[in-house]
Amino acid sequence: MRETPKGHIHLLSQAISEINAIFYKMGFTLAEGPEIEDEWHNFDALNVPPDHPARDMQDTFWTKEKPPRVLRTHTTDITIRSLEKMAKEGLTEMRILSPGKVYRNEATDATHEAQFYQYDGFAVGPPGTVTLAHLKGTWVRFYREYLGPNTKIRFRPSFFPFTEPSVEVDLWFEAPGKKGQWLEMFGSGMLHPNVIRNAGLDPAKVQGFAFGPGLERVVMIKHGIPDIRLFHGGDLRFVNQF
Amino acid sequence: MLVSYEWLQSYFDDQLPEPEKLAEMLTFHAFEIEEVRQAGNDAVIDIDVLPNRSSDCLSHRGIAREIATLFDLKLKDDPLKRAITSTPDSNLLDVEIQTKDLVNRFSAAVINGVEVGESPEWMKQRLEAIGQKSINNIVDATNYVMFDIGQPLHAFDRDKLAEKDGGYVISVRTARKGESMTDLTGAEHEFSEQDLLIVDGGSDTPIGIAGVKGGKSPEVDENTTNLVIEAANFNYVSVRKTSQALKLWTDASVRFQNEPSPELTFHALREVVALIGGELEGFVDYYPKQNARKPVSVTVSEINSLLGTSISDSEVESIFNRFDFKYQKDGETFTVTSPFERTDLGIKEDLIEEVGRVYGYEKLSSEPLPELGESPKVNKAFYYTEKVRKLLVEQGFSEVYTYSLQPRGEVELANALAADKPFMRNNLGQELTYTILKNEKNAPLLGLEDVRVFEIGTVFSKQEEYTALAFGIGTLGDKKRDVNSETEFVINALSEELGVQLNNRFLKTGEIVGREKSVGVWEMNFTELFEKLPEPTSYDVSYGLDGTNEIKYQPFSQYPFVLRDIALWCRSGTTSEEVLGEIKKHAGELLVNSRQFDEFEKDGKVSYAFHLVFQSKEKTLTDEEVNSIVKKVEAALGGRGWEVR
Repeated sequence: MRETPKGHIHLLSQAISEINAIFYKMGFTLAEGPEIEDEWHNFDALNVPPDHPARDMQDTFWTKEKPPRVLRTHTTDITIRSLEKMAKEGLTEMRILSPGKVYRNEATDATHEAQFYQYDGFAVGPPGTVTLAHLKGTWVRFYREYLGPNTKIRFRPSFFPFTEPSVEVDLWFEAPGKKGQWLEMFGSGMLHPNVIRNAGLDPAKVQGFAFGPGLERVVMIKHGIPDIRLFHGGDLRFVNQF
Repeated sequence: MLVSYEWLQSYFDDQLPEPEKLAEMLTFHAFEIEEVRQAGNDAVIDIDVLPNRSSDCLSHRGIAREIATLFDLKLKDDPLKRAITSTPDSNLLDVEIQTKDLVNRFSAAVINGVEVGESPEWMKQRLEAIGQKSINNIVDATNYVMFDIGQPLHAFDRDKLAEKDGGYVISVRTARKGESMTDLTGAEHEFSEQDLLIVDGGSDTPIGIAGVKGGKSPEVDENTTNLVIEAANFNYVSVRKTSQALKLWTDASVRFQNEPSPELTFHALREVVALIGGELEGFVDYYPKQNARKPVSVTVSEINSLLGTSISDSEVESIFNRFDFKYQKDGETFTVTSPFERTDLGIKEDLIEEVGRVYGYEKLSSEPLPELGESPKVNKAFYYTEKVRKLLVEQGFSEVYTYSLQPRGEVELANALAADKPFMRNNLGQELTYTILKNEKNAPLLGLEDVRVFEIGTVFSKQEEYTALAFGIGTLGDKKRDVNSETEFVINALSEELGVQLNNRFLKTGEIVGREKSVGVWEMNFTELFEKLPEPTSYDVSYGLDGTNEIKYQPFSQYPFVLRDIALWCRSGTTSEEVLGEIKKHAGELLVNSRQFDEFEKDGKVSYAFHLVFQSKEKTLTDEEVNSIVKKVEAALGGRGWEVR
């Protein structure tokens, strides 16, 4: 047979693989979930009740089915499903990384796509074992391994219905040949007791952090990619560079 | 929300820090700041108040209260601590709440003998600083109080209401079918039966959209002398739904959507009455359900075990003091009764957040998660996905990601973004076929003999969603090769590696596209496949474990490329690398790709032939430009004693 030159794994697949490897070393198992979700797992279980203004923060695609389902707006649906599993199996701790495709009903441009990837995750355990300080430690380590030793992070107070306290995580990054700057990266926080209760667990016995970063964003920063639409364009002039 | 620095300063005796310092403190301990800018003698700060604090902080008093807490200052004279007078009762106005479950509170003040004119300069300046137009002293006062303490108000010209038995009636009810109203700015709105309205009870005509916007008919104008000022609190879902249905988002509706405390109404009436002057005739108040403040308890241990800190009892206490919270301390347990406007503080975790953000997240240490007893489980689907990716890449395939939303499928969206793509894909092959065709024209640029791509992704049928694996080959060039036999080779290689015979049972052959090209796409249910494979115990196939890819993106040119072939004879023993090196050296950077396509020996000489691809990042290259480069290269090759053919 002819000799064929080697092909290329898509940059996003490479990124998920590297990210999984980093979190695996920190004790996280990779989990998946459905892309078309029921309302409970995408919203209600995550403390986002119907008609709450917080639902406006995410513009949603609905199916024509009866009852309608949603194209999941985040991979936090896997968080609640995993916690439900934890309750059923009577576990006292769990660490999950859940990368996957999500959908938002917003206009497309260089930094926004209607479909993109997130890599949500969480770590829970008995009170005191998984704290906001551990969230910091986990992400300091992640960025060091994924982006390099000159990275650091900081927290700013924020609000999400599924966490309390909630923080925005900023990253200090020095692109090669450029001045360092602070970049807004993702939202996270300590899982809200309502979420823990909705999963069938006792918030007095189970506490921990959750995070929901966008995958393309960190990949674009790492590899200097200017336009998010390059990832799904199917153009080998992009794919074969990596 | 825009706030005026000067307006904030009026809440304090102490000089406030500079606007930039305020912004910095708020950013790291409270809210995101969009912008700080100078506005004459004042500065304007654009604050992004999040949903959970929109009930108390969409106001200058709310932000001033935050600043007091964060900088450990005292508010000079907190309007929400001033005494409330709710008498006398009005003899002129009655309020009739017909849709009771949508009204939490309805308060109103009746004021006689006002003079409508210009607002005082200081009020005009403050309103202007935050982007509000000055209308007249009455309307401005109602706006001022809303931006000051967060309670929306509305003023009606009482004499434009219909008198009924010597008095006036305001009712609050949902709209009847077909009802409509012209609003203050002249726009006409037709209501549905879900919309809550303020109605002139005397004439049973709508005079306002509850919580959203006032009507034109009882508008305050320069002749107005008698007023009714409404300060109410409506069901937040109702206000939101009406606002969205009518596409009317106002400063009032934004506040009501976030559930301000009903206790605010009389504070607002007191403030606006003081500003407007005239003669207060009396009040009306419908307030059926007064919720007592529920105390919330939290222990210092609970605070530290959620945050991962070692904050002392006395530090927690001093933080609660900064907030001016009322609390009881019993050992390490704090029972906090937060002020009425803090409707966001309901559970202990809310208090822990208050302590954490004031304490400062910059003080958090960076703790690594403890080691677990055993290695985490390996995800079987992910393991085999990575394994198959590696195998296909060895076979020359590159991975693509295509869009899930497509023109055809089984699961349809109710609100698709693009009207021509309302379905979730039920296969990968269709889009993969187009991908192959799109990439074929760039094959020479990429140095490819054929286009080989694959995708692993979710597809959706009416019953289920599963992971599909599809790969496709588009053969190019004059010598059309047999797509089927190429595919068979790939399938056999995969079968061997996975230890499972993949045969036609798994595959469905895709379309073969006509003309001189042949494209073949094969797809299988990957979920079904890997379920049959053994359980992995480690991520031995993960390319993530090999480290990290540091390659930076290079933008590719949008201009067309030009192809040339070059063939030459050399003395036997000359390597193709040597020849190619010479070609590249003299062709320069406009040679973006090169590929050897022929090699044979004859009479002690060796012949090499190369495809050359020229392209500029700046423009379309002309034949002349390319020819001159090729001439230069040929001359250089000739100089090496090689014979160009």
